[in-house]
Amino acid sequence: MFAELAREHLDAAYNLARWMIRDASSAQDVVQDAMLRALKYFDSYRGDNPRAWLLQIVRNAALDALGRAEATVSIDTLDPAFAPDPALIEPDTPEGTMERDTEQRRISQCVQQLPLELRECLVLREWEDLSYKEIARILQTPVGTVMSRLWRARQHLAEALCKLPEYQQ
Amino acid sequence: MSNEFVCEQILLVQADWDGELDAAESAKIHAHRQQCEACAQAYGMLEMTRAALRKVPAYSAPASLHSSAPIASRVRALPRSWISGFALGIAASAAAWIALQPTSSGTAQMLVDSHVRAAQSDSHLLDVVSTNQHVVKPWFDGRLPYSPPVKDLAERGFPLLGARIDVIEGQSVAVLVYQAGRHQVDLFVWPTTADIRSLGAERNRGFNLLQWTTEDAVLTAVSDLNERELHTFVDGWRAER
Repeated sequence: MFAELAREHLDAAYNLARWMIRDASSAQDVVQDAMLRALKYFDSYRGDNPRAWLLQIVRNAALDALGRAEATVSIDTLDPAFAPDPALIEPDTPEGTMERDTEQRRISQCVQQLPLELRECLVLREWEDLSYKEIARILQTPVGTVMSRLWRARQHLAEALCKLPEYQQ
Repeated sequence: MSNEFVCEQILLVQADWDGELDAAESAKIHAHRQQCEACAQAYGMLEMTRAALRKVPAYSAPASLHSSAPIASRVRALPRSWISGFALGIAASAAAWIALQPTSSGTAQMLVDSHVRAAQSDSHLLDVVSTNQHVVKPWFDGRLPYSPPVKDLAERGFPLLGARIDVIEGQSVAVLVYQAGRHQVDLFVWPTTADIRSLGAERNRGFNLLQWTTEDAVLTAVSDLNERELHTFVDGWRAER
């Protein structure tokens, strides 16, 4: 029973972990850790939204792996001093190709550079198609906070995108 | 490009754009956007970000995750030859893993195969490309012995892309293709006289299927869209005149 649930949402779990952790092998560890936790709690789970439940567990496992209690960081800009360590962003694009300068890779990097608390909201909305309410539940935060984080995420993203060659006039 | 002036309604504009508002609230915000320069610009910015993000697919779990515990643990015993596949190669075991899924009906399998083939092609294998139901519906005349209902679901967020004719279990079937966010929905439409095995709601290799019958047709929606949203699609179809 659990294995089917795990399989069904495995890609979603990995996708969330991968965007949060930004390293493929650690993301796999996070998903496995999350699945073990979920298995433990599965028997007592009575909810109607198993995917959101599982993603909440994945998110918490990812935060643990990052050594954080929550995703909030005090820096909320794209200050290049806080750009992620290039060693962490190895070339495993979603397609796994080795092309280094594709537009997809550049857009991907703009997302990677977002502060975690904004990035995780964006991933849950744009890739997992979750509602504000579902995201709020996963992040254990009010819907209003989700709305403002999404807005800031998209603003930052737009600013970063505008600097890409594809968006120059 | 960054817009310093932001109207206080901006979060509602965003909520509307994310499909979170009900019809009444949405209409109010839509009216506001016509009059507010800042919100109109912000809307454009939102569209631009989504268009960019659409170019970046979700990460897929690597094969090694699929075959790791507890994801791979099964209640029933594994055949010995499959276990050696496990030891030999992760990719081999992942493939064998798929083959050991509880057998869904052959029909579901064929529908998913059809959907996957189409999704892998740039053109989605469309025989007729049009967002207009009044173009798509008559296109089937002379090509199929029946005329499938074709509905416009663009207002509900599922624009029509076009259609194709496929052959499932030896019968020609109309396939209407709709866009649903990042995914496509293939809607297979048979006449009620067709000899088609009935399915309820099924999952097959990560794809969702929903089938229902009306007085004119048997319809099956197939997509890798999540179940909740596929239900929204189907409910929208059934509610649409």
